[in-house]
Amino acid sequence: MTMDPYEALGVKKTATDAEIKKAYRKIAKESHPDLNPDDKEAEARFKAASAAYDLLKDPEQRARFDRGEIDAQGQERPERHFYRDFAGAEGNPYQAGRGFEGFGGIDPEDLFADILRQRAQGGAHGFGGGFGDEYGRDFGGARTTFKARGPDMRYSMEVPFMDAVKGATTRITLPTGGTLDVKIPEGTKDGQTIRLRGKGGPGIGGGPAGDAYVTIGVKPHPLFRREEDDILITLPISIDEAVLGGKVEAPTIDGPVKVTIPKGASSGQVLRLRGRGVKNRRTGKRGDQKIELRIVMPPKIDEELESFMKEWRKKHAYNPRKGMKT
Amino acid sequence: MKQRYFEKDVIEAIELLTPGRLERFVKMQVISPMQTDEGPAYRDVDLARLELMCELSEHFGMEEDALEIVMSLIDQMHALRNRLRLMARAIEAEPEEVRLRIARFICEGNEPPPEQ
Repeated sequence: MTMDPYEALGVKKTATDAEIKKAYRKIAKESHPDLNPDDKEAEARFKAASAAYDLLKDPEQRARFDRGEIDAQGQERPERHFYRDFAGAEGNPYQAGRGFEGFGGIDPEDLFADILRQRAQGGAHGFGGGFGDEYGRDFGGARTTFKARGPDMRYSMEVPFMDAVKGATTRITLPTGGTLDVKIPEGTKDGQTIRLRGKGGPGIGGGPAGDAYVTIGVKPHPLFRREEDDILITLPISIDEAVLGGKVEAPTIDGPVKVTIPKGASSGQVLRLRGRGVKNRRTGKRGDQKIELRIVMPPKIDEELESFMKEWRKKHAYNPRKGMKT
Repeated sequence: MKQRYFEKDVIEAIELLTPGRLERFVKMQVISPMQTDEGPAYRDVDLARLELMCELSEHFGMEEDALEIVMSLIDQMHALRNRLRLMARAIEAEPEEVRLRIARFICEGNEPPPEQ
């Protein structure tokens, strides 16, 4: 950013601190990407203005800049992420319960009726998940009691890898001090949100409680990685196992199993154990476990191995890099 | 696994954020860190959200009660945008005739489209 900060804010060099602040606020209002998510140019304008404001808001820095001791360049901010970049992304915990998961919870048959009803009731889903259907109906009617659904609550928790893969029940401590039992379904993904009906805030006047939405973060496992429904591991093998093949034990999410290493296996080769992956919640089918082999040398190259290799090389040398042209 | 930040990392990363402010935001439940064995952990989305909240309170002098309302409105706006996007995608997949009828209805106002 080499732009003149005064120009970026649209003020004169003689502007007062108050004028600078006012100019910045005006630009920020119009151009803050999070307040103007549909404006594609907003980010560039906002970044220029905030870099300029960062420099000019501090009288001492401003004086140094005016004297030419520092330039605007030094004021560049580290790469910044705006909330709007996450807001529409899958697994945004702050969208849970606000219709993020498509039209989750609505029967497809009732989809349009549901949206139109919301409108007719003056946007019954108000602040914080809001007053339920009963609000419009009961409040508007004659001689009725006031009844409202409780607000929805949102929480986030991290669970061990295995709990997410195999399912478990854990307990979350609420900011209010209480606890909530959360059933983690088998095959839960990182960033997935679980809805607990009726576990949100209490209703008013006999109205039903709101829902609790718990976003799950999955803790990485030292051995297993996950790619959709497949489990990935790297399995170290010895050189003799690589050359001669054989059966070795490999960990799976169900415990160790024997796998057959083919004769002449290479590092990077992938073996597939069908049905040893994660259960897909929709299809009920399990993914695979993929085992990437990695040949590990013995801790010490002894003389016997060395002399054998020297002999072997004389007659059987090969070039695995053949055809590798740069 | 995405990046995780603990309280001190978050305070360090966001210039305008103080420990007191963070604590209040969490208590207000406008920010909900992930509960982990090592204490509350924040994700990139939390950082972006915190930065926005700090700017609103610092640069616009927004009180925290008002901030809570604004954040809720922003969340609702994004939820609506997501719904709208899904709806647009669904309409895009329809035959041209249907798309045009819907477009005409939206552009021309609130008269329901004529029965075919």
